[in-house]
Amino acid sequence: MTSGTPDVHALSGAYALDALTPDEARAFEQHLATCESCRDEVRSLREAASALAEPVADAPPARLRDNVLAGISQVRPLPPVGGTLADDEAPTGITTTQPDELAARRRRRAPAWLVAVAAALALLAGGAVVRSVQLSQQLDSVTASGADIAQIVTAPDATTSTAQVSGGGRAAVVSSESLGRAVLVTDGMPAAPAGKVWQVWYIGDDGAPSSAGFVPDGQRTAVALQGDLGTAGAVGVTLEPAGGSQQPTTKPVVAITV
Amino acid sequence: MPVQPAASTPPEPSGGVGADLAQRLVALLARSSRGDEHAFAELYDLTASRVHGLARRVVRDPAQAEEVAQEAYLEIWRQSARFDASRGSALAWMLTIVHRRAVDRVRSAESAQARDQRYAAVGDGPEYDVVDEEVTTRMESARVRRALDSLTEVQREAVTLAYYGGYTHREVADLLDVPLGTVKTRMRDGLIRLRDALGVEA
Ligand SMILES: [Zn+2]
Repeated sequence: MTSGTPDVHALSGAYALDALTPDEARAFEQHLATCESCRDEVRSLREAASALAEPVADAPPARLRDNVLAGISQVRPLPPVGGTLADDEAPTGITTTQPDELAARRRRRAPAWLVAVAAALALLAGGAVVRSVQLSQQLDSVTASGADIAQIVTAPDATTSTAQVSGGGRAAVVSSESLGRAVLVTDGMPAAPAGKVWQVWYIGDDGAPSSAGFVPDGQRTAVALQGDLGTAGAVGVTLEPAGGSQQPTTKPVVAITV
Repeated sequence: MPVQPAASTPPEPSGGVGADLAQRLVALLARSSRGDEHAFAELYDLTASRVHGLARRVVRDPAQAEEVAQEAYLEIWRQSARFDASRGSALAWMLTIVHRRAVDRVRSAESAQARDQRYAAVGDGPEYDVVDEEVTTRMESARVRRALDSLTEVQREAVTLAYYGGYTHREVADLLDVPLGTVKTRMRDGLIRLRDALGVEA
C-alpha cells in the first residue's frame, strides 16, 4: 500500500461484496490495476464472500438445467481476451470441407446467429427486451450479417435503451460509442401496411434525421443500423412509402434516446 | 436436449473450498471454453444449487431468480475462456458473475418501497431457510455459518446486508445510520475475519 489514499484501499471489502456503485467499482478497479496488495486482498475476500453461497444453496427446478443447456448449445464461447468476434465464421475444428457441406453448415448456422444476438441482448438488457433464450429462438428476422450485430451488442461499452412503440410492441437500441454503431431490436411491432415500410432514422443532437435503414419484417427482429452513430442522440422509426424517404414524412412511432 | 443429465440427482460436491472440486471446475471451464457442452453440463451439475440458491437469496422472486441463474450460466459459458486461475478459484469467479447479476437485478428493478420491504426481510442476518438434502453441502454450510458467527454482530450485519441483501455500502450506511467509513471498515474487517475462519489462503 504505497500509493493512493488509505481510503481507497479500505474499499476492498465493499468491492468484494459488490457493494460499490458502478462508478465507484470502476474507480476501484483502476486502483486495483496499480495496487498489488489490494489485488491480493480482493482475491482472498472474494473467496470468503463466495462461501456465503453455501448456506443458502437451493437445488433449482429441473427446467433450469434444460434451459441452460439449450441456451449454450446456440451460443459459442467467446475467444480468450485479445481475440475478436470476427473469427466467428471460421470453421470450428473442420479444416477441409466440401462445398455442399459448407453450404449446409452455413444454413444450419444462420438460426444460431439470431440466438447469439438475442442471448447477448438478454444479457445486456437484463431480460427487458428478450426475456429468455427460448424467446430469442423466435427472432424472425436479422438483416446485415449476424457477425455485425454480434460485434455491436457484445462491445464492452454497449448500452441498451428501450421504449414502447406507439401502436404496439417494444423497441430497443443497443449502441456502442467506440464502434459508432447501433442495433435496433423490435418485438411485437405491427407490420407496415402494404406499400409502406418502417424506416429507421438517426436523429442528431440538432434534431436533424439521417436514414439508418429499415425495420425488417417479423414479430421479433434485429437490424444493424446503417451509417455512423456519430453524435446521434436518438433513434426514431417512421412509416414511409416503400423504398423509403429522404426525410421523415410522418410522426415517429417511437424515438429512443441513446 | 443435446446433453442428458448424468444422474437423476445431480451430484453436489463436498464444499466450495474442496481441492478436488476446485480442480475439477477449472478443467471443466477449460473444456467449456472450447465448446464442450458435456463439460458444461457437468459444471452445471456441480454448481447449480449454489448458483440458484444465491440468486434466489438476493432476488427472492423465484421466477426472477431462475432468470438470473440462467443468464449467469450463459455468461459463464461465453466468458469461460476468460477465466484466469491465477486470480482466484473457478467457483468464486462463477459466483461473482451470479452475484453481480442478482444485485443488478434488484438494484435496477426496485422502488424505494420495495427496498424497504427487502430490508425488513433481510433483517440482521441470513435466514438459512433453505433445505438441502445433501449431507456434504449441509456440512459445508455449517462450517460457513460457524465462520460467520466469528464476526462481530455489526460486521455480520454489514456483510450480510451487502451480500444477501444486495445493498450498496452507502445504502447500508443509511439503513444502519452509521458513517460510510464505518461501514467500509466493517465490511472489510468482517470479510477478513470470515476468510481467516474459513481458512481461505490469503
Ligand atoms: Zn490498494
